[in-house]
Amino acid sequence: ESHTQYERVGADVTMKCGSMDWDAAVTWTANGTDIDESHLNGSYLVLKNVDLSQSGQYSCYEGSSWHLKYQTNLRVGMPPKEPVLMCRSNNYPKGFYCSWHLPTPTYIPNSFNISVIHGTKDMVCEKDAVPKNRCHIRYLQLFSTVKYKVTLTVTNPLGKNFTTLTFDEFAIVKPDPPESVVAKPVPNNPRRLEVSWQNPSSWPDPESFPLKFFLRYRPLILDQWQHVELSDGTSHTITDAYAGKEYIIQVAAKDNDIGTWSDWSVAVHATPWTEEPKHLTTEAQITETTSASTSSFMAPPTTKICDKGAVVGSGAMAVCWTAGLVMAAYSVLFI
Amino acid sequence: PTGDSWGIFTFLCAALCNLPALPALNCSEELGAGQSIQQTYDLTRYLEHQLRTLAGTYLNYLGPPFNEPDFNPPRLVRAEPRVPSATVDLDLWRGLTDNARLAANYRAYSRLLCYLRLLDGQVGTAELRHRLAHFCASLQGLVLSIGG
Repeated sequence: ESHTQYERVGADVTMKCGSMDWDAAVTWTANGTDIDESHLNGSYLVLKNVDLSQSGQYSCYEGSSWHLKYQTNLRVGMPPKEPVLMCRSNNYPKGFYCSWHLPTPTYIPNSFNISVIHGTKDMVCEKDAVPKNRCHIRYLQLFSTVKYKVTLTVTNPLGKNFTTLTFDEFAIVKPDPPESVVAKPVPNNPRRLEVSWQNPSSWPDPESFPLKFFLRYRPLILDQWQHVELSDGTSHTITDAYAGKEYIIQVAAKDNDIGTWSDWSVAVHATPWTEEPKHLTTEAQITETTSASTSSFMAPPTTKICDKGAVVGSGAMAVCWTAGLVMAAYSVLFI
Repeated sequence: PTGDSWGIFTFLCAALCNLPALPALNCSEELGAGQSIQQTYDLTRYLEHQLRTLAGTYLNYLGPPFNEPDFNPPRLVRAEPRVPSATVDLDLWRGLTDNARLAANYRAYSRLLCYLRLLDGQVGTAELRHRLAHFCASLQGLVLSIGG
């Protein structure tokens, strides 16, 4: 006969050779390898303080005939710790989903059972095929003031554990981030960036449940974000971008009245429009040198003069432009 | 009387917190409903704000355990005919037109107004009575706005 045996890490395990007597002569193997007699107590195999590496196939053979008398698959593991459960509605008002996981592995198979109670009513949470530790539920009523109670029980051969969440319908609403965020420069406008996005596709009814949005943007070289909250529309024009700087932009969404903000969308990068350098002709070498040096000084303030200190804003821009003009004047003199 | 008043306040909070889910204007029909919906929405939000202040004052008046942050009053599940509930069957709600939704709001807030007027006027402090009177006046304004 053969079966599976589950034991806790650190336990002492005694395995009997089937129905053989204690004083019978037997040989034990672990995954095909003979086990030393020091682990035997008569015909019983004794493993003290087992660890994960001792999982495997244990077989017992009658001494002289080498008949296989008993076989067991030993699986060393642990009872489950309290599971982690999360419920969220990203498709309000259709329903919500719950997902769960164990904080630490048990090393043996676990089964999960989820129950959802709304007042006195039991609701069915339909398990998703992918991902596995997730189920979804459809709302039957809207604007309910009765809380939902979700209980997740995890069971394995060594024990069980559970956790419960209680919440209001509107408290778990959190949309997915906005999709297709696009940021483009605006021709002939060196301080503008045009940003547009779409409602998350999982939000089923933006007509009846409009979303509001939060935009954040900053130039790559700075750490501080600018924020704009938008109560309608899926586009916005940034008008205070620093000329020539590459920006990083993200958008988040929230139902107008209930729930919490979504995670930030995928970040997009964009640089405002800058004027192309004038096309240079060969006849004016002097002009070429001049414009070359002026354009290098009048370029966006990446030179050390302008990065001095942490001062940002139009004041610093004026300083940079002035410095650029001064440099241009000097370079003309030197030619 | 205290239990009853508390009951109405919890219902108010719950009902008002869930009611402002008005549909956006559907331009292809019921154009008249659009402005009424927007007004109703704005007034309801104002009422919600008033109610939070009123509830806070009332809870402090009652003292512990009511004024503790984690106090969670029981929601009245029994069918109290005078206090309206916003809870609605999802498919039923989907099928409502803008005018039907406005009518439902009108009925609910009218009933709420009647109920509040029946509350014992001697309950609580002068400040509470004053706030409640103000709330009723705003609620009356809302009912008239929807109806008119």
